[in-house]
Amino acid sequence: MLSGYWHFVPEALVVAGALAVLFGEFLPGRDKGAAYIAAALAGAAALLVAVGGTGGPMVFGQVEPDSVARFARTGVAGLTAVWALWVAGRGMSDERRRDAVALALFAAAGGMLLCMARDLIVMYIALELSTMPAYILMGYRRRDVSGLEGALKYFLLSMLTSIVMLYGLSFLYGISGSTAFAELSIEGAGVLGLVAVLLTLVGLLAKMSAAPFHYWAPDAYAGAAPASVAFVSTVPKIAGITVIARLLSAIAPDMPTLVTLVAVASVASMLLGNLAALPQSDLRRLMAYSGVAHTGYLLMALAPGTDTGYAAAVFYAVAYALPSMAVMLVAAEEGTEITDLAQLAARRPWLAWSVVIWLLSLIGIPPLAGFFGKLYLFGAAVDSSLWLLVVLGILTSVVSAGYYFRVVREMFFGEPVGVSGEGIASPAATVALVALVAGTVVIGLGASPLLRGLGALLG
Amino acid sequence: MAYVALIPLLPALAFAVMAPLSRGVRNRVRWLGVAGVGGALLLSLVAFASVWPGGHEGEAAYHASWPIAQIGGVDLSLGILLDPLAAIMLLVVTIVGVCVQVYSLGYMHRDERVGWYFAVLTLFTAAMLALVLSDNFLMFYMAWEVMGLCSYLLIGFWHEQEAPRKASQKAFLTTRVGDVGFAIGLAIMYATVGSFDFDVVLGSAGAWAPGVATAVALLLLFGAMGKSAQVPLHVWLPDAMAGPTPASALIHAATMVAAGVFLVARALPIFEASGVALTVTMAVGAITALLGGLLAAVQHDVKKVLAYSTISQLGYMFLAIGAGGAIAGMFHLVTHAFFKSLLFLGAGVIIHAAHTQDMREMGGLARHLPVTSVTFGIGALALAGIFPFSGFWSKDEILYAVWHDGHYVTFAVALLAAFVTAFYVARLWFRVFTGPVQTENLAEGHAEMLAPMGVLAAITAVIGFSAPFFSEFLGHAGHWPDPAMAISSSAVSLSGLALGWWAYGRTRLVLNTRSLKERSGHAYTVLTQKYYFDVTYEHFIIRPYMRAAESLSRFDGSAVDGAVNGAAGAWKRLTEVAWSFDGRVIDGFVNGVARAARASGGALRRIQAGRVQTYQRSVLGALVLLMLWIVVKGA
Repeated sequence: MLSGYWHFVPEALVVAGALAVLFGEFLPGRDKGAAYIAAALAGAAALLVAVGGTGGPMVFGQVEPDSVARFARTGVAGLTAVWALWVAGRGMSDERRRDAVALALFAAAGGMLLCMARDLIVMYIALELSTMPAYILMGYRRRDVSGLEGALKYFLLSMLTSIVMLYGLSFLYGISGSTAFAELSIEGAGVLGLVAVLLTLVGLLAKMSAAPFHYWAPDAYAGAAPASVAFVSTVPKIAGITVIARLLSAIAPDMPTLVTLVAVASVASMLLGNLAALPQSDLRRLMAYSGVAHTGYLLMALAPGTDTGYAAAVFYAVAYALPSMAVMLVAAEEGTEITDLAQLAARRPWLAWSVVIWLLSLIGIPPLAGFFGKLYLFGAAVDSSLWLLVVLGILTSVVSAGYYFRVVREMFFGEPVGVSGEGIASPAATVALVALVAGTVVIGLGASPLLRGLGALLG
Repeated sequence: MAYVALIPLLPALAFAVMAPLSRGVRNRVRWLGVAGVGGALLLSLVAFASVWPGGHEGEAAYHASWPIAQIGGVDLSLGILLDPLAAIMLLVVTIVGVCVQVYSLGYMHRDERVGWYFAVLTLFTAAMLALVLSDNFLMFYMAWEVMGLCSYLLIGFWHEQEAPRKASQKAFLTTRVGDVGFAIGLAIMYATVGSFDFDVVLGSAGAWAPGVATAVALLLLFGAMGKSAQVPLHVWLPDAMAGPTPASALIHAATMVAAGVFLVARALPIFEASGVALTVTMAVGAITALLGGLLAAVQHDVKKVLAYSTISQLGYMFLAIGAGGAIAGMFHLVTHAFFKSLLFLGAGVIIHAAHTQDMREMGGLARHLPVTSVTFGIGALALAGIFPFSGFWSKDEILYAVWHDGHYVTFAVALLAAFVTAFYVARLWFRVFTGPVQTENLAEGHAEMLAPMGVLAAITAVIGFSAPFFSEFLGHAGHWPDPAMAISSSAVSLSGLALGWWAYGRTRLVLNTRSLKERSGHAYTVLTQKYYFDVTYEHFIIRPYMRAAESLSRFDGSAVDGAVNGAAGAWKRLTEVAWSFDGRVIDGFVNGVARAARASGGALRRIQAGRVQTYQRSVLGALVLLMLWIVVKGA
């Protein structure tokens, strides 16, 4: 049994990176060097997960590093590494300190565990581990009152839904007499079983900012440092969607009531997210609502309860996270108002074109990651004849082009207002952004083999 | 007869509609609560008519149950059981409920959170009705706990003040102690018979091992003692008077506190199977009846007098049930519910008029509050047990039952308690309504406050004559009072009243009873210290607990934090961030709300107005809607 423990080495690396940053004051080069070390360790962890094989159930069946977990963990660790690299290069805005990296790495460790979790208790603890640091990240700028306010709202709502979820977990345990995913069953438990699943899902859906549990996201994002948003709005979503898929497939794959339930959340998220994003002028708010909308797309694939659907969702979670993180990092460099990006094409043409690529991926234009991701999402829904979801998904994608293109127009034809852009040149940050462009394209081109690997082994 | 299920559902629905509304809208639709309880009253009348003429003990006029879940192969269900006992309780709860709600329209109309008050009051009524109608112990327990919650919310209704907040916690925690006993009792019961259904459990109780029956019965009794404020778990009820007076009338006098008595009456076969448990019930009741009465006699706060009086009268009911007079106990529950809620409502008018609760600052109210003094007087005479008011009949039945069963010591205690009761009733009445006026601008209550009191007074005046029919309705032989018993109990009550008049009613001056107190010496101190119950709990339970908690937090602070701080300064920065949450968040919150409110425009943005309470409400609202949908759609 002990032999499988090397599967935890990536998590150990990430935690080591986090500790290195915490104790960074004792290192040569101080916190900057420590942040680089952390980024390197996270990157190493991502590589290790990607090349390392998969394994069966471990630690009394509480975790299982299977192929889906491998993909998701690679995504979590890789994106964390990129983010840490960017922060190491530029620092958090307004703050010189870089210990935010430690928080992010702790959260990433929790997220990676969450991807492997096969037990309610491990799931809950990993989920809390991945969100606790996020509260601090959102309130990272201590002197910024609105940031603290947003972080507190995030905390309060997240705690509320966590408690609701714990309540659901206790019912699940009561009904099935076990906390292991494999033994969860609500067969014959009637309405109580469904209510238990609903309560559990509320906690997870809220952390994924799915409507109607999304209220914290716009306020929290709009107050926080854009670099914090870049991390919090993306990486935890990968882990979250993975564990939701895992949990749903374990409990009740094709119970009609559950299908409708997830579909309702999906429809609400798609409509609300896309419509509310339209009038926003702050990039963080815009991306918050865009995040709600994308969670709606993810849920669309989860609704049918099929393996291809689960695989598509996990794939799209990564495909969404890449460009979304990138856009927020650009906001951290250039300013959070859309008008701050005016004439970006003239100032930094490469960056402007990169933003175009990311936004196109978010809309879902081939051959980028977002296109294939959405293709598989819609395909999973079509297979199960959830036509309403598909039609709404396509229509709202068209709507989303509206607000994404507003950003593009601003970059190329906007009138510059005042001085914008901090203009700190940082090679490391550039490398991070290049990696995000490359990832967006490569994952798009390599979509079908990646997804085959996921779909074949899931469930 | 499925409409019976609507009796608890109507008020519950009213609550469900009111709860999620904003404060302003909720305040305007407070009539919804009145309507919900009023509807329940009408349906209860119909239900009562369908049970009439009763007469067969334990035979249900209507019984239905709906499974809600299956766990481990066992069905859990909600069920409705309408039998004569439940039908009577339905009427009591809804009549008192409607009276209190109408009264509250006048009493609470200036409060800025009046809507919430009505919502909770309505939820409470729904829970009590569900409890009365439940056909199994689990649903009974659920309704019981909802009432505990409502009680907490109502006692602490004015939570910006210190006293109500503390009182609500005390009430919640003290009754919780009893509830733990109740829950353990339920677990043992389930382990024994594998069911919570009244039919199954009570039907088989006679065949249980005596030890099991005793254990279950005593644990249920412990739960009942918490809810019904029996010694030594009575300490919460006097403090609970910090809540709004009409809420006290409904909850802490008429209905919820009677739930404990009702529990014992429902589970009577278990108590009878045990035998010992009945004796314990009787002893607890007798002690409480006397101690509560004595305490009521030294209180100066008019509501506290009534609170201790309630404790004492509940003790009377336990005493009756324990002595084998379950019917007499239930009848006293009914009469007490009416006259005690009447007294509390009257106390509300008095407090409104005199702007104080201290009887020493009152006097001569009879001339200025004619309606109140008459109705209150009727309630007071009923409480003292004077013919022909309701208390006379039920008290007489209890005394008769105790005497008849040969519990002579208990009989003596009960007589003594009756004497004390009459004394403090006289003390209360003479202090408040006679003597010199000490307050200016005395004004009678609003019409909507006086009308319910009139109704309750009328019921109190005539309901006693139904005593024999009450027994027959519940399937027992009814009888008119025994003349000898009636004369002796009346003599005791009258002498109590006479003593009260002698001490408090003769003088036309502001009273000074110091000489009386000094002569009674030590005994008076013991009484004013409430037999040292609170002090004992404070000293032996609460303080050690607080000390333990403090030393734990010191350990956290010094050992754990110290280690962390020593390890790295980085942790300190993290804690700083956490501290600044505390320090700045209040300001930030307020500013942020204002800013966000200014910015909010469209419909979607209005929801996203920045108020975290609104968000939480929306989240929970969505959750409730989805749950409702699941329940409606079914598995």
